[in-house]
Amino acid sequence: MTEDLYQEVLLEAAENPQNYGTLTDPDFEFQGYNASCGDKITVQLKLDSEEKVTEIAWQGDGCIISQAAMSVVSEAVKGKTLSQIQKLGLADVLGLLHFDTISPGRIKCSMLGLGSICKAIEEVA
Amino acid sequence: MSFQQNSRDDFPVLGTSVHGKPLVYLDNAATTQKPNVVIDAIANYYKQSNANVHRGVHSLSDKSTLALEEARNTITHFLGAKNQELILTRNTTEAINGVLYGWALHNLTKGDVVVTSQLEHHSNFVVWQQVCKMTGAELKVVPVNANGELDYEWLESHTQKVKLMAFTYVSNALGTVLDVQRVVSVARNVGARVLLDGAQAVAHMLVDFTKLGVDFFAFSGHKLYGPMGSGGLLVRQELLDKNEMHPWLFGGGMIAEVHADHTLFHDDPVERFTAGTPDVASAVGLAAACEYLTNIGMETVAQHEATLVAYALEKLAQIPSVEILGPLTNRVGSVSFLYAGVHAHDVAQVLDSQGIAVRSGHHCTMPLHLAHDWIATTRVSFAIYNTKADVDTLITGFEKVSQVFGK
Repeated sequence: MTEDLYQEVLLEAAENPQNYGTLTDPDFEFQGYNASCGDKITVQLKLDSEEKVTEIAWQGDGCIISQAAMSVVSEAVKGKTLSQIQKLGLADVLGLLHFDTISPGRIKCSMLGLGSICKAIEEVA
Repeated sequence: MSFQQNSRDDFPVLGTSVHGKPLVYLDNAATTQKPNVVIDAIANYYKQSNANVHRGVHSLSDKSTLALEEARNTITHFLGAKNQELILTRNTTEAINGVLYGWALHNLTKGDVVVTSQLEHHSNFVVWQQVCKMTGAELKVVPVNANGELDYEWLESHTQKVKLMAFTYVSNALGTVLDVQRVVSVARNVGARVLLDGAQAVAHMLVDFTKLGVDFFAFSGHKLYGPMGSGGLLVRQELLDKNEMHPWLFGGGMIAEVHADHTLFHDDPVERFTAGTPDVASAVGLAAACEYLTNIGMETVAQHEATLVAYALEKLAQIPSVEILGPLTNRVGSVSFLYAGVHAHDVAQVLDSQGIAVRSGHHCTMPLHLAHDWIATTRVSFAIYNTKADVDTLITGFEKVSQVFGK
């Protein structure tokens, strides 16, 4: 399981995260937090007139799963509307990471990024 | 056959495998495994003695009542307390909340001070934040130095209006042992009560509640080789006698008389603090755990674990990527560390793939982690059944961590 979990693609995603950094003029910004380990993530989004994500940037410290998941999710949400993003779930994140399954203890890690984005959308909606 | 080899055979779960590897269980600060004598005691209670206590005149009810009474005697004897000083709870958290509802709300007012520390488990921290919100009392937090030890001088110079000092006896994160005598002496000088969170102490050292001289002592049975959902609060007899400690759960069993407009509570503190049907099976199981430890001898337990902690510290210090946290001497049970460049969850996951169970995260000690800017730490914690071979397996396990992450 660990061999699958820490496959090269995952390590690569965590080493060279997509969209890592900050935006100069975000439409909204929010923080996600994993209470079980203290991992924090900040995400910024820029939207067009149809509420589609045009730009995304994120920063944070965390385990490889949470960092890699945030990286792939940040690519996946580009061009999607907020309501489309809200329909994404754990299965989508696992698909993006090429995981068949994940142990219950790591679900929170893999969902930190997407969960934070969805929570923020709920707050602004 | 050595003492630890004998004891390993007593714990059925230690014979199981994880990912096809023999289980090496090093998460004992979270909960200990249960020996056969505890599992059997619980099963036997249900098979032979189950009935509600103090309710009937029938023989089975008497048998159950006697089982509870004997269990209470065994548990309190093990902890150096009197039978009537024990209030059975589900765990340490519930016991500490009992001090909030049964003592603090009746004895704290605006302007009073509660002192706790940066080292505390959330169960002995969040409770006091809440009580200060409820009463208008002020919470003061003793800082912890770079070695994870309390700043006692700070404590000694912040005693004005202090009504309660609530500290952990042994840190679940760093293994730091509190200087109880020094705390009690400061508290007595200013007339403050002392609560010890004994969750991480009871399984590792001989505890004598009377000799410690504290007012409250909270502990968990499940960290003491007993069943989940068992634990207790010891309250010094004097506080019970003068009704400084009040019942905080109301209902059946804890009453003397109930009238339409008022209720008189039971004179006997054991009854007064036992509202509703108690978990007799868990008490019986916990008593079996106390007997099990008494037969081994707590001095033997302490000596064995001190050897393991020293061995782990020595071996971990040889791994360049590992930074050991906490004091280098006078520590018990837990050893936490940082692994350079690899998050604690990832370290734990790779160790798990080799059958090694460790804890990762903030271990319910966020104030400590925030103060030191640690995002997450990895913790190994020892019990009577662990061996030097377990430490060796752990150390070898780091080779795979290094291999997977290249660090």
